[in-house]
Amino acid sequence: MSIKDNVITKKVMSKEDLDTLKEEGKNRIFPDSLKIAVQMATCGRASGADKIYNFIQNEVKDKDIILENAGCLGLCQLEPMVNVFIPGFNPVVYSNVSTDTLKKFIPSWISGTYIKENILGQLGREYYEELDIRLKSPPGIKKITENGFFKKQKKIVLRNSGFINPFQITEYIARGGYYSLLNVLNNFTSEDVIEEILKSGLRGRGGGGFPTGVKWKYCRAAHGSPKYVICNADEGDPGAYMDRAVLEGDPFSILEGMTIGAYAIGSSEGYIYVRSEYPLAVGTLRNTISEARRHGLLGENIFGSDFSFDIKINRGGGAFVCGESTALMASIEGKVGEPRVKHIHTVEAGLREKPTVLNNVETWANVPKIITKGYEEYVKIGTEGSKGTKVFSLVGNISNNGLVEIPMGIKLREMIFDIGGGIPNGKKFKAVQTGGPSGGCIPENHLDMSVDFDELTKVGSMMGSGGMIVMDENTCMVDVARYFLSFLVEESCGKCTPCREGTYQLYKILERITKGDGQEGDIELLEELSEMIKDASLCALGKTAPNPVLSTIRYFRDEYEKHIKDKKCPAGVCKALFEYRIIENKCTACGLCKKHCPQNAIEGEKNVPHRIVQERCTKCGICYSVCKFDAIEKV
Amino acid sequence: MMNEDELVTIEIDKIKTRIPKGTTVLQAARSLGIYIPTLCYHEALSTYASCRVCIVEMSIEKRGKLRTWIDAACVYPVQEGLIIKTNSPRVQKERKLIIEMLLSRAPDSPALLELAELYGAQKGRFESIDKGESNCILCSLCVRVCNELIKSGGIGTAFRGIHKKVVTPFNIAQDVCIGCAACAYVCPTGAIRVIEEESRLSIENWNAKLEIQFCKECGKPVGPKVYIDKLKEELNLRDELYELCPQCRRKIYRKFVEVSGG
Amino acid sequence: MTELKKKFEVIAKKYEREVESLMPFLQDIQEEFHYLPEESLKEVAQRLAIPLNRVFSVATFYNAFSLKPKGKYVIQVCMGTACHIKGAPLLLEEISSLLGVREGGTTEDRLFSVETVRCLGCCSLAPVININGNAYGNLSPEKIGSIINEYKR
Repeated sequence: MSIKDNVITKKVMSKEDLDTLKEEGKNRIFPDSLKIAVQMATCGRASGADKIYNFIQNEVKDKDIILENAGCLGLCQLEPMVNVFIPGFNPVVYSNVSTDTLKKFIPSWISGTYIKENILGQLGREYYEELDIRLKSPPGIKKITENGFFKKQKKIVLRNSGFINPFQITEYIARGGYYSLLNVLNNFTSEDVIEEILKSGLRGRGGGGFPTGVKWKYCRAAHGSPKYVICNADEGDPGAYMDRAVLEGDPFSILEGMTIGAYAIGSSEGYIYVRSEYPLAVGTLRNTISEARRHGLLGENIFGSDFSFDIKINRGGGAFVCGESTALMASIEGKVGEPRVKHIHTVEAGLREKPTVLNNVETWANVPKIITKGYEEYVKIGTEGSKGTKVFSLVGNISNNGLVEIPMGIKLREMIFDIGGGIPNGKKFKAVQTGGPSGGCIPENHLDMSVDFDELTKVGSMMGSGGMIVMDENTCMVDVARYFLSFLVEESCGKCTPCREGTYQLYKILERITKGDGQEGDIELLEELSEMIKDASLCALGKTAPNPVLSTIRYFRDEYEKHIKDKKCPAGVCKALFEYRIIENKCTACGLCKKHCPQNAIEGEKNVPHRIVQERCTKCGICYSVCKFDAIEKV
Repeated sequence: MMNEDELVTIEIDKIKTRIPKGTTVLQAARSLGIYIPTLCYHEALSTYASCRVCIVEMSIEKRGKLRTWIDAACVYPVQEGLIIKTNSPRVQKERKLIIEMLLSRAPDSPALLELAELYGAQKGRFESIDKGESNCILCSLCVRVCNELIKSGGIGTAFRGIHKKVVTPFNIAQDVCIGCAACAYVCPTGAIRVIEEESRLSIENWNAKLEIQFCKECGKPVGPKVYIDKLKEELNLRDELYELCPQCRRKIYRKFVEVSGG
Repeated sequence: MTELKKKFEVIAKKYEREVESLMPFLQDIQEEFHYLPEESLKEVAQRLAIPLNRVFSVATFYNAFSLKPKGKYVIQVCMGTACHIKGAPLLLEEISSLLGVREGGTTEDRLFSVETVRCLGCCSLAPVININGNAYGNLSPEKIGSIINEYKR
């Protein structure tokens, strides 16, 4: 038993105890009165979800209505979203809600009806398959899985995000949570667990794609004590936020996964290293770890067994390099995030020189699910070399922006045009960037490729952590390479010469090219430097740093040549290589551009087409974006 | 006697040999008289493997496949079946580029210029962020000697990436500096400037200005006062010895030796 | 004891005399004082029994730490990949021109600091900024003015 806030909690010791909590969770998820759950992850809040939450809180004050918190369902651009639970019916998800629309929605929900506006869909049986409950389908409302964005997705890691209250352990248990851990403690030896993960084919989801079972096997066999498990929640790839969704939407799945992993390798101490830019995730984890301890599912004698395991949280300090495993461990040890030599494997000598298993958030989240149905079910999903699903952040110039979880092997075309809904504003697809700053661009002619670890590597990119940034025809690929290198220059730890000086030189050359000072031989120089940096750098940050350059040269060499030889940027991005011009016969002299120009670089009187004074223009683009008549062009 | 189990067979520059397991490629090469250039390596200090000038090309056969890669010789331990090429075309090409990168940081360093000649590297091909003013290649030998060997802890690194520097905290002279100048001694590029004046020793890079102690006997300079104070702490010698220069000290010792009949 | 010293002691009590406490110790000081005062670093070195140069290395390595005082409101403009292609550089220019500070700077009245971050993890709502923990998405240069004005009040 444990006491917190004068509430005595009975520790979970058996399946019966778990079943009791499961029942509690079921009643929380599907209460007898109207329940409204607001999706309150960081992206929800950035869209105004807290205002929505506060508004509803006021509205439901004296009524028998329950207001809850849910994580993130993944279709972030349509937030704020709420899940409406009218007793006896499948929950219904409303998107783009505002206080105005809620004013009419809430009374209708109270009366048991659904106003058919802004409905994303209803959540079906797959969201409560573990529960003994019968719910009716609200008439005239499509299942959410019929929505183009959700249709081809397969939710394993994200099955609870955006649905359950992430802070409530009973709701996690109601979804089958902690039954895997119980099963493991009762029926599996450590070796059995490792065997199961090995056979599942699970590969690291952080970017390396290393077979998880093999990693655990080596660590178990390594000499040294104590042993550690670490969760890498440093998610530094710009454009990737899959891990954040799990940390804020389904944190108990990570705790359960790590506990199973600790049991497998013989560890009793775990760490979660969360980047400092995710304060909500840190808060959520602190809360859930405390809850798990309270219930005896973390700490001494878990489930009353003789297995003990506890977790500490370490916050990152704003350094991308700390996503690299040895740099992360150095950071936990109170040092600067400089990686160590890589031929010493961290499974043998990792944190504090002890055997350590470090895995990514998504990898850990998969573990309990593999145990639930067994590896045989897991291997049915995915391809030969890449089993299971992968969560991607599908962002950029794409109609449906958000997090998607797909079975490995789906075609890239399906991801972009079916799930993603294609390119908005009538623009053409140009490339998709995967693998973050360590990855590469994939052009149109590879759209029919399968998305999995090995296929992505073959075309010169990589899976990475799952960032998938779609770029349309108005993206300059040379500028993209320059952008990634500017990032890597700032994030290099500075230890080894090839990365520290090499990425800087790559960046300077790309900067020159985008400023119109490209020279004959620049492409060859970029390639020469890239080869050395790939070979001679100490760690993976350096070794993969040239990838954005090499892949854009591979597929868009002509664009580089236009910049260097013709001093032109075809996409209209590199400021030195194009001009903004007002199209005389389209200009209505409304004066809007002149008003907004921060440099006073636009001249023109009433009824006379305006003119941009090029010498004063800084190419900020404000005029271009405010003109309502399409009267400004890039030349 | 060397246990047979502790030796592994390797091939280095086409020479097959048996080397004790755990030896680094650099040590193995040196034992055979094969030259591999180094800059950030020092026998007395921990390895850092940062300059990457000692890179070599290695291959090993695993499961029927030959895997080839580049890595630093100063840290990589030999293993059974390892094939090493210390000067292959790939190594030469990449080493030349690395030296050119280092020259962008320390264009006037004699040691670097020597290496440049050896490998055909061009001075001035690249310009680093500080235009080579510091002459520092960030090998961190000075930091390692100060913190690991002398254990004063006066200097360390600051910032990261291309902005990384070796400094004293806040660029202020540190009380813990004893002016031993070991930092200058190990620096491969001569980037640390030690100035000896009449009554003062200065290490410009660290803003260190240390008062010199003079010999009570003959008046010659002995060393920085703080250095001698530290020796007083660490060694257990007769007080009077600290006030004398090495020659005068020897004179006193001789007297002791004669008296005690040794 | 001065107010500052009192606040420092509250933090120091949490940490044992070991090197590994360095990061969380500095993070707490940064959170409390909005920067790392020089004196605090010397105290930390003493409390943890490590050389000052080690503390200084860590304090300058990580972006989360600042040796100079930051403004009351820290505006972080996300420059992640999705935000970059959706116009974050324009947003940064607008903010810089509205407040009269460059990236990394603080306004004269110490009310605002402007920095860039990569990334805030709200990529679907690009471009995004964060002000003292509050995220704002789907922005454009026109929308920035009113958000900043809210904080000026």
